[in-house]
Amino acid sequence: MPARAAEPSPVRPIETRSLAAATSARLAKLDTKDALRATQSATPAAATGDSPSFFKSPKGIAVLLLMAVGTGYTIYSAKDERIDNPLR
Amino acid sequence: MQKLRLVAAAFLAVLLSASSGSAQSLLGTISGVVVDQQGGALPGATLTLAGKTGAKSAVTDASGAFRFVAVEPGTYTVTAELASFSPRKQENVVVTIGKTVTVDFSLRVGGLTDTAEVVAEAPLVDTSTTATDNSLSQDLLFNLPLNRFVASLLDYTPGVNAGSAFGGGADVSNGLYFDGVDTRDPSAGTAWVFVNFNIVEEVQVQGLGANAEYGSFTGAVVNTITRSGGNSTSGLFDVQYTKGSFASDNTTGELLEQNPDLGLSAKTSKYLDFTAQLSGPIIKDKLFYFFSAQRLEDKSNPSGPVELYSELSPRFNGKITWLPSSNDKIDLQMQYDQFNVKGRDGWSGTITKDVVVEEEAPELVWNAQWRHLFGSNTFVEARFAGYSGYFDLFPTAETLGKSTHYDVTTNVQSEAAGYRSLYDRKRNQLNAAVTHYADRWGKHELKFGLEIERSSAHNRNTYEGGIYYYDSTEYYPVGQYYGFDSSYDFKTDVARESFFAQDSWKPNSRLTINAGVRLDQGRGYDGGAQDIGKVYEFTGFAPRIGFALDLTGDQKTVLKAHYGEFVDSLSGTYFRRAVPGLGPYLGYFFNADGTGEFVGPKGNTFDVVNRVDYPLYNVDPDLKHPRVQQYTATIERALTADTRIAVTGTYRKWKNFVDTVLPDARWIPFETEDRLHEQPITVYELEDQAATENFLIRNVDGTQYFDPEGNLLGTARAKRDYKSLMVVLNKRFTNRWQAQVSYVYSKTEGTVNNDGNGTRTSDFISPNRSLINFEGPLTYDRPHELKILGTFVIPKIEVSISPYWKSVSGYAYQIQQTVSRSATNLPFALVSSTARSIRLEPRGSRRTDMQHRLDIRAEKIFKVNQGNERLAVYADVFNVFNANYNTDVFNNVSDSTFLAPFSITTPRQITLGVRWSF
Repeated sequence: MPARAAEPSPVRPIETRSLAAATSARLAKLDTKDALRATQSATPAAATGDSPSFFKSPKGIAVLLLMAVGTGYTIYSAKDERIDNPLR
Repeated sequence: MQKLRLVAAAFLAVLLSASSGSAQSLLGTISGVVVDQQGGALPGATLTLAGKTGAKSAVTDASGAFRFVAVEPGTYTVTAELASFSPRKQENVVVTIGKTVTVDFSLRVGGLTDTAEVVAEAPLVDTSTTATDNSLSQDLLFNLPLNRFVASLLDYTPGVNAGSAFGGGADVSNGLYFDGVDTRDPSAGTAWVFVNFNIVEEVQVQGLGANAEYGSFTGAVVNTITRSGGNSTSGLFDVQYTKGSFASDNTTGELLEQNPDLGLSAKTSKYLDFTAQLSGPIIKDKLFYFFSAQRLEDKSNPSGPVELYSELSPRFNGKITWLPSSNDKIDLQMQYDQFNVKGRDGWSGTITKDVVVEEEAPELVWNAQWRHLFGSNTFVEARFAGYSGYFDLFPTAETLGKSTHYDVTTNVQSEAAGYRSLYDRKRNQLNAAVTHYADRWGKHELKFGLEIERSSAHNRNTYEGGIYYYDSTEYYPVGQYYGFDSSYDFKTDVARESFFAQDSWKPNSRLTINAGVRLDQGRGYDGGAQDIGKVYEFTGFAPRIGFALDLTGDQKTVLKAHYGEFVDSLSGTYFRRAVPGLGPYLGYFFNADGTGEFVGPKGNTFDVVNRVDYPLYNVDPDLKHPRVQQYTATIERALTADTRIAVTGTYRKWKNFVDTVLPDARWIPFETEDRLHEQPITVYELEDQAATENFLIRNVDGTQYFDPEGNLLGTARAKRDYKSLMVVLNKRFTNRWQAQVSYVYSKTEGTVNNDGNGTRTSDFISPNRSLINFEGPLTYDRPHELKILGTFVIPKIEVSISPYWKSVSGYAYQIQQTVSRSATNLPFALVSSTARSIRLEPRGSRRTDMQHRLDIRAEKIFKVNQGNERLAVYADVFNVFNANYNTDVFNNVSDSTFLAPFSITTPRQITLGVRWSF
């Protein structure tokens, strides 16, 4: 099942009269198990997500270090390199 | 009840038949149909839309149709499933702002999943909107050597130059939207909130054919959408750097001979801009974060005596995205940044290097957004956004307490900038809108919205030591002065409520009618200590209507036409002279006996010889706020599968210009010498300065000027017209290259300039400006404009080259001459010297140089590991040919450097960058 369903309404039965005749004929011959298997195989993969251990991996540690350096320097800049208006 | 229904039906009929624009929003739509192999509709099929924050689903209706509304810009996968059928998956569905992507599925019976590898995106020719889409594709935007100041991104768009969009006022007439909310300065109308280019998800520029949800502009709109977190942890680390030795010198002996003050080229001595950015999930599919830190340092050695101009901007951005249910999305966003400047020129003109101020400008920006979906046909959005900040200009530590000395003999200002200015700003805006898709009498996308704005600006200025000195070394010994003081402290508040309703109606598969209407109500108040209340008020009704017709029925050729009216924004500058807080003006003169009441820095004493208490201006209660009427017609044709051409004709006509006039004035014509042509020219003297007790802010078209006997001297016309023919050839990125080539031929003519004053003007206070050589091409009239942007990826080495070539006509100007104050009898303190500046030839008779410029980016991207991880190194070369065209000239016959270049373009500069992203 999708992680979130915008349309919670149940799937309506197929109105076969809207199907082309040839399709209806093929449906009638189709093995139900085949159809089910085909449907299951099409279940969309969940949106890609990283493993919880990302920040313990070498890449994750490098990212954290870079973030710390970048954020730290920006905080330093905001505090210590600020031009303060002495009149305010 | 019957009556109510009739009223509702009448309103709907008016709405559908009488009004505006295209159905564009900050979101996109995915729609399509699911059929079997023979084309029969498949009702009940489940469609799953998977994106970075999870997945959601929809079910096809009886006709096999489905629709995902309120889709964030990004790349998605759509899968169609139905029992007994082989599922089908469409990857790479690219959603952009305001576009509908059609994804149709044809399912076959049985079998395994089919996956379509091709990219699905909005059609090359959009037949579903009347808006003229000449904005840059995101592929182009993020590959070019850009000026990263987001407001400047406008300039890469056809028909926009130096912030003047389609003939509109430079900078002040454009709407600058940050995640859907206008962020301009409520006082001057210029950009206030600066955005880190690296947090931008998408930028959309529009103006021609914009729908009713967009208002408060008469130029164009820049829509900047910022990034958000998703289920994947993503990061971006970017560094850009340049230094003085990476710059060239484009001044020449010939230029310096004309204007020695040009000195060395203005060049960047150090530029270091880094961004550290991280985003990802806090709770999978539910809660996400985005964080960015940026530090931007920009040091330059500008032309002239000032040797160091430096900007330092630390900036933080944070955003939390919460999906409390499958139908709700909440974004909470903050930005804190500072803008610190050293070496800012205190005054224009000739200065010594100590005539500079420092600047402190911190601000906090917030934006809270909520969206709720009512099924697949209706959603509501609400945003509350705003900012609070200030920018202060103040003396350096070395010049604190020192006054400016301006020598009228040498035209040089020295010793100190001599002033301090404090500018506080607050802006709050609440936007709410509901969008509904209806399928009756065709297909409708209806949108109704409300905007409420409350803004305030507090402006203060004082002179150091309470005086600005005028030295005159030619006539007085050194140490003797006269001077003046004129401080101000006023507060302007703006209140605005806007309502809009619009529909994108498709009565059949080939025709789209965009109709809408917008109502703006604006009020200006005195928010200062005296608080005299409301001083300015307007109601603006802006209808818009257009159609798009798919001529060939295959989405390859569309004819569009649109008519719209756009009411300008309300900023404090329209009415600030109607609120108290200015002055008084005090004129000082040297007291030779040493007994003056004011003691100067060198022990000299002064008497107050002139005191002027500024009168409060009146505002015409019948004033109408400025607007532009706009007609566009476009034909677009897909030439190949990835190339289209669009030809657009545009006519824009401005109305209701606002200026200050002297209704009681009588004018005496007299002759003076035209020093350009060495012949007499008739100018006007104010008969009686008592007329300056009554200033009136009003619509100035039709202003009449009378002589002392009451005879009509002339009637002034306030007008501005823009006509253009625009040809845009666009190729999407395929086969290793993409490009956009545009040529615009335009004319912007009239009597009200399209400079930084926008739809305000200062020419009508005196007939010297409004009756003499008053009409012609305006400053930002740029008849010829060619822009070529593109990217080509070189095979084998896989390096992309992205050039940006621009050729554009120079600025229009004319020769002027300043007539003396005594001759025109215009009081110095009350009437700007501009009113004495006479055009000696028709407006816009001359032009600065034609501008040709080439910027190039070379970029090599290395794929690292699997997935989206990339390491890129890039180099930007700005002004590759080191062009040195002038960007302004001295145009007053009184200038010693008459007709010499006042400024020239910046020289060639190379910037290097590296970016790691995943």
